[in-house]
Amino acid sequence: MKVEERPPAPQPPAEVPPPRVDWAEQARRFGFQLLAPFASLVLAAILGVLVVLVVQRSWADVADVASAMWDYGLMNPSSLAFIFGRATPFIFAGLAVAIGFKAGLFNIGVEGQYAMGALTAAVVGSKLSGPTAVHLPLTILAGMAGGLAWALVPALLKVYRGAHEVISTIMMNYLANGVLLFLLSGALKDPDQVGSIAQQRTAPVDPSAQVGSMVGFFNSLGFSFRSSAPVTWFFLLALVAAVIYSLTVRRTRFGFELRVIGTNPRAAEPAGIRTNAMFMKAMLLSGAVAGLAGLQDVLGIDDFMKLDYVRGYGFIGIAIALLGRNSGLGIVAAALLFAYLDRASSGIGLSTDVPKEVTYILQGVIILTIVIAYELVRRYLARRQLRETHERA
Amino acid sequence: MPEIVTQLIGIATIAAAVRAFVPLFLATLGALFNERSGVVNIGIDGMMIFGTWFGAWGALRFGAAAGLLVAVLAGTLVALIHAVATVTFRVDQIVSGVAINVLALGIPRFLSIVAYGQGTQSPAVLQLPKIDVPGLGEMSPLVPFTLLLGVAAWYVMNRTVFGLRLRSSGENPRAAESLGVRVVAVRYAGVLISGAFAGLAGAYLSVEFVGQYNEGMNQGRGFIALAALILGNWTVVGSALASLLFGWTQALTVYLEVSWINDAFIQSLPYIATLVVLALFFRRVRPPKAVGQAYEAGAPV
Amino acid sequence: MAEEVAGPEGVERQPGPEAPLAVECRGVTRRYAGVVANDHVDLAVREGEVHALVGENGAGKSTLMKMLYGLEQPDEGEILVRGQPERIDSPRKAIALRIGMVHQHFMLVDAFTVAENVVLGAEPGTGGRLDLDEAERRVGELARGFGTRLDPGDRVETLAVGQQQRVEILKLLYRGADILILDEPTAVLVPQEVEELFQSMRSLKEQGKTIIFIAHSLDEVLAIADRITVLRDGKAIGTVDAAGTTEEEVAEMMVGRPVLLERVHGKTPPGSPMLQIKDLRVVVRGKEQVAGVDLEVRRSEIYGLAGVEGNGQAELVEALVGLRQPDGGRIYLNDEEITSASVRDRREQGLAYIPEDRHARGMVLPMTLWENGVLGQHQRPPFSRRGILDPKAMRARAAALIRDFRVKAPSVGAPGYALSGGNQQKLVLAREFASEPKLLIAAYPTRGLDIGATEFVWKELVEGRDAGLAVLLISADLEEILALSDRVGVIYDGRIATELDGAAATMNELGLYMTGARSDREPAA
Repeated sequence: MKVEERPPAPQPPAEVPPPRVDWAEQARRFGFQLLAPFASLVLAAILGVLVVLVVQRSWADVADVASAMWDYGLMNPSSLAFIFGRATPFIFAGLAVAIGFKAGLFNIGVEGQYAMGALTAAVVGSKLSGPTAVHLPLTILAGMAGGLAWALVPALLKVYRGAHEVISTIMMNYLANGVLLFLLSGALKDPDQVGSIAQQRTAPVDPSAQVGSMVGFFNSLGFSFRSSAPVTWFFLLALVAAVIYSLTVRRTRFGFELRVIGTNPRAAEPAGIRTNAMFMKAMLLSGAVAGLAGLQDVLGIDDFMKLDYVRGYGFIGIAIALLGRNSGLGIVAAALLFAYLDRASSGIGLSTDVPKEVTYILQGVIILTIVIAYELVRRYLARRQLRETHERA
Repeated sequence: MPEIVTQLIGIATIAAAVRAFVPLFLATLGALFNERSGVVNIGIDGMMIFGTWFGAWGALRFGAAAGLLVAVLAGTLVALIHAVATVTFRVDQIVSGVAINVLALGIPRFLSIVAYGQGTQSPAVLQLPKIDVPGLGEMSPLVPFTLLLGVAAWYVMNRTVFGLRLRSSGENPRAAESLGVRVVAVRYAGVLISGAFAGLAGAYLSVEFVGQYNEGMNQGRGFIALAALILGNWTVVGSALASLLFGWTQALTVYLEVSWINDAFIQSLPYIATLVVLALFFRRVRPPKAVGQAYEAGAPV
Repeated sequence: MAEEVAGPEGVERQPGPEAPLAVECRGVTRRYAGVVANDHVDLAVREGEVHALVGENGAGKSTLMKMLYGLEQPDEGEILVRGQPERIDSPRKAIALRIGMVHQHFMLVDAFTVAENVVLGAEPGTGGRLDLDEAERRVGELARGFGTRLDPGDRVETLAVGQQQRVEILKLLYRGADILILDEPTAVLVPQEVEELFQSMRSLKEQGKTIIFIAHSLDEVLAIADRITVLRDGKAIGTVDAAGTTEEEVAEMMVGRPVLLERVHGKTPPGSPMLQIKDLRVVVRGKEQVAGVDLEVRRSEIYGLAGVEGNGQAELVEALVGLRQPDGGRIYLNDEEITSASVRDRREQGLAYIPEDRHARGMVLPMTLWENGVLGQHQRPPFSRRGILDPKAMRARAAALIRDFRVKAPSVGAPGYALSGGNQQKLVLAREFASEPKLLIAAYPTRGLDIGATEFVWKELVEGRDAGLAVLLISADLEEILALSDRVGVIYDGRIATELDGAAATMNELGLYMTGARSDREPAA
C-alpha cells in the first residue's frame, strides 16, 4: 500500500454562532397555523349560504339566518351563559379525545364512556349522602371511574391483542346503550318515577352532590343572565381541566412520553419508554376525562341521569379535538365555537324559516375542511423548513 | 323441538338472518375493495347512513328501484370526499373516516327537515315487489341480487387485471408502482366502489328491510361490517360467512326470547360478538400489508 | 470477439476489448447536499459480460446504478446505452431501453404467486380478464430458460430468499430486459444460494444478456465476474480483468486512501470487563443472524466491531440495547445480567446507545431540540423531578450540547427536522455522551459527518475511554476502526471471525476477514 503525502491537519471549524430565537419566523409560523381554521370557517360560511339559498331560494332568508346568528347567538343577554354551559361537556369530551390523539390513539368511545360516567355518578350521588366536601368529590371521582372502566376493555384489547381501538371503542358505545337500558329500566330506576322508557331515570341525586349554577357569580361581574341559564360551576372545572391538560402535556414526564409515542413510536423504545404501559395509561386517562363530560347534566342542571342523555358529545368531542389541534387553548376555543353554533341554531329555529339544523352542515364542513387544511399547512411549513435547512447547509 | 332451538335455528330465524345478512354483506364487500386497495374506510357507517336517507328519499320521489340508484350515487359522492382527503391530500385515513361519520350524524336530520318537515323519519316508501324464495318465504329481490354481486365481486377481485392491480396496491404499492400500476387511480377506484356498495346497503335497509327512513336506523352496521371483514380474513367468501354470522346475531335480537337472559343483553349480541371477534382473531388474520399507509407516488425509493 | 479465459468452471468465454459496449458512463457526476456521490465516473460495460462494481459503503455504487435505472439523474456527464446517448429519466424509460434492475430490497408482493408478481402491470388476457394460466405458462417457460426450478404457482412468501431473487430477475426477463443490474445480490443469500445464483447468471450470459452487479464480497466477485470496476469515495479508481487480479489487489484499490487522521492513542489501560456477551443467538425469520457470539468489552477500552453490513451486527446491537429478545445466550452489564432487562433498566444501569438510523430511532423530528436533547434521560433529575419536567434545565442541556459539539442549529426551540442530517447525528451523539454512561454502544457514529466533526467525535470517544468508559464501536469505516480501537473484532456471517490487537491490525487483514476470505474459526459443520 502506497503511503501518500499527508495533507496539513484540518483547521478547527469556525465558531458556530450561538442559537437564537427568531421571533419573526415564529410569528409567521403561528400565523400560518391560524390560517387553517380561519380558511375553514370562511369556507363553511360560504357553503352555509349556498345551502340556505338552495333550500329557501331567497336572499332574505340568508339575511335572517345571519341576523339570528348574531342577535340570538351572541347579543341576547343570556347567550353567553348558554354558550359557556354548552361548551362545558364539549371541553371535557374534546380533552378526552385529545389525550388519545396525543398518544396516537383514536378513542371514539367517548360517547359510551361519558354515559357510563354519568350513570355511575348519578348512582353514587343518589345512594350515598354526606357532607358536600366529601360527597361531591367522591361523586365526581365516581364519574371518572365509570368512564375509565368503560375504556378498559378496548385498552386491554389493544395492548394484549393488538386490536385497533377504533372498532372496539365504537362497539363499547353500542354496548353502553344496552347496559343503560337494562339498568335504567330495572335496578337503577327511580322508584317514584312514572313514564315512558325514554324518560327512565335514576333516583334523584342528593343535594350534597349537586353543583350549583354560576349565574349568580357572573351576574355579580356585571352580566345579566337569566337565573335559569344552564351554566354551572362545571364550566370552571372544564377550564381548569383544560389548563391541567395543557400543563401535563407540555410540562410533565408523562406528557413528554405520551407525545413521543404519539409522534414517533420507533424512537420511544430505544429511549427507554415503555410503549405498552403508556398506551394503557393514555386510554384509561382518556376514558376517565370522558366520564366528566356528562356530569354537568347529571349533577348540575338536573339531578338525575336518563336514557336520552346520550347526546352525541362523544362525536362532537372528536370534532373539537381535531379543530383545536389537541391543545388546551384550541379545545376551549373550538368548544365555544360549537356551543355558539348550537345557540345560534336555536335562534335560527325561533326566528327564521330556515331549519335550525343548517348548523349541522356548518359543523360538518368545518370538520372536513379543517383536517385537510391542517394537513396542507403542516406539509407546507415542513417543506419550507427543509428548504431553509438545505440552503443553510 | 324445544322452544329455544326453534328460536336459534328455526326457519323464521334463518330467514331473518338472511335478510339481516344483506346490508352487512354489501357493506363488507365495499370495505373489501377499499381495504384491499390500501385505504381504511372507517366512514363506511356514515356512507351507509347517507344511503339509508337517500334511498328512502329517492324511493319516495321516483320509485323503489330509482331510490336504490340514488343511494348508490350518494354513497359514491361521499366516498369521493374520503378519497380526495386520504389519497390526494394524504390526511390520516382514520381521521377522515371519523369526520365522515360526524357528517352523517347531523346532515341527514337537516335534509329530513327540508324534505319531510321533520327530522327523524320519512313517510313509508313503496318497496320493490317481493319474490318468493323456496323455504325461506318472501324476500326482497335484493337478496338474491346481493348474492350475485358477491359472485361478481369475487370474480373481479380474483380473476381480472383490475383486481390484481387493486390487491397489489394494498399489499406493496411501491412494487406495484415500479411495474407501472397507477396506485393513486386504483385507490380512488377502491374507495368509490366502497361508497357505492355502502349506499346500496343503506338503501336496502330503509327501502326494503324496514320500508321507511328512521334516524339512527343503521345502528352501527358499518362497524360490524368492518369486523366481518376482519373475521373473513379480507376475502369474499370469508366475508360472506362472517356477515351471515353477524346477521344471525341480529336475527336473534328479534327471535330470541329467553326469560332468564335479559333483553338488553340480547340486543347487544351483535356488538358483543364483534368484540369477541376482535379479541380472538385480530392477530391471527392477514390484513393487506400496506393498508392504512398513505402513499406518495414517485417518492424516493 | 470473445476471449477464452480460464475461470473456476473451466474455460469460459467473455467479451474481449473490441466487444460493443452495452452501457457506458462518461464523466458522470451526482451531488447531494454538500456531498459528491459520484465524481466524474467513467464506466464501460461490454455487451454479454458480467461486470462487477465494488467499493465500500458510501463509495457511490448504488447511486450510479440508480442513474442507469432512471431513479436518479446525473448532474454532469452522459450515459450511453448501446452506443446511443440517452436520458434515462424514469424506470419506465429504462424498461423501454431493456434495462432492468433488481434492488437489494426486493419489491415483491408476498401474498401473490410467482406468476402474479412477474406479470403485474403487463398481464396477459383480453378485455380486462386475467389469464392466470397463460401467465403461469409463460413464466414457467422463462424460468426453465435460465435454469431455475421455480413453480409459477407458488406464493412468493413461501420461497427462500434466493428463489425470491430469481422472481425479481424473471420480472426483468419477462419485460425483455437484456441489460440486468443486480444491487448487492449476494448480500441476502447463503452460500448454496449464491452458487445457484451464479449458475443462473452464467446461463443468462450465454443467452447474450449483460449483467452489472454491485458486490462487497471479493471472493464471490472473482468467481463470477469477467471484469471489475472499483469505486472509492465517489471516484472510479480503475477497471481490471477478474482473471488477472487477486483479492488483495482489489481490496487495496477499495480501501486504500491517504491517512488523514492519526491513530489516537489512549492513556488508560483497559480494566475489568463491563460488557460480557456469551454465546448470543438471534434468529430472524428462520435465519440465525447472530450465531453464537462471544464478546467482551472492558472498562477504558474501545472495542471496534468491523464487518460488512448484513452480517448480524444490527441484530446483535438490538439484543444488547434491549430492543429484541435474544434466542439464546446471555448478556452481562457491569456483572449484572441484563439479557431480558428493559431498555429503561439498561439505561439506568449505564448503557448509552447511538442508533444506526438516527433520524428514525434516535430523534423525534417534529419535537424541539431541547426535547430531543434529553430523550432517553428525560426521567432523571435535573430534567424531571417527581414527574415534572424542568424545561429550563432541558434547554440549558440542549444549548450545551449544541455548543460543545458545534451543532448548526437555528435555536434550541427549533424542531428536529430543521437540522441537516449531519447535525441531527451530532445532536444524538452529544446527547448520549452527556448521559455519563458506563457502556456506550455506538453504531456507525461518524457516518455522514465531515472531517472536523469526525475528529471531534473520535476525541470524545477516546476521552471517554480514558475516563473509564467501555465503548462498543460498530463501524464500516476501517480507518476509524483502526484509529480508535484497542481491540478489533470482525463479524462475519453472525459470528466473530477473529479478534485482533488494534495497534497491530492492518486494513488488508481486516478486509480479508470481513469478506470471508479468511477466518480463524472452524468452518461451520
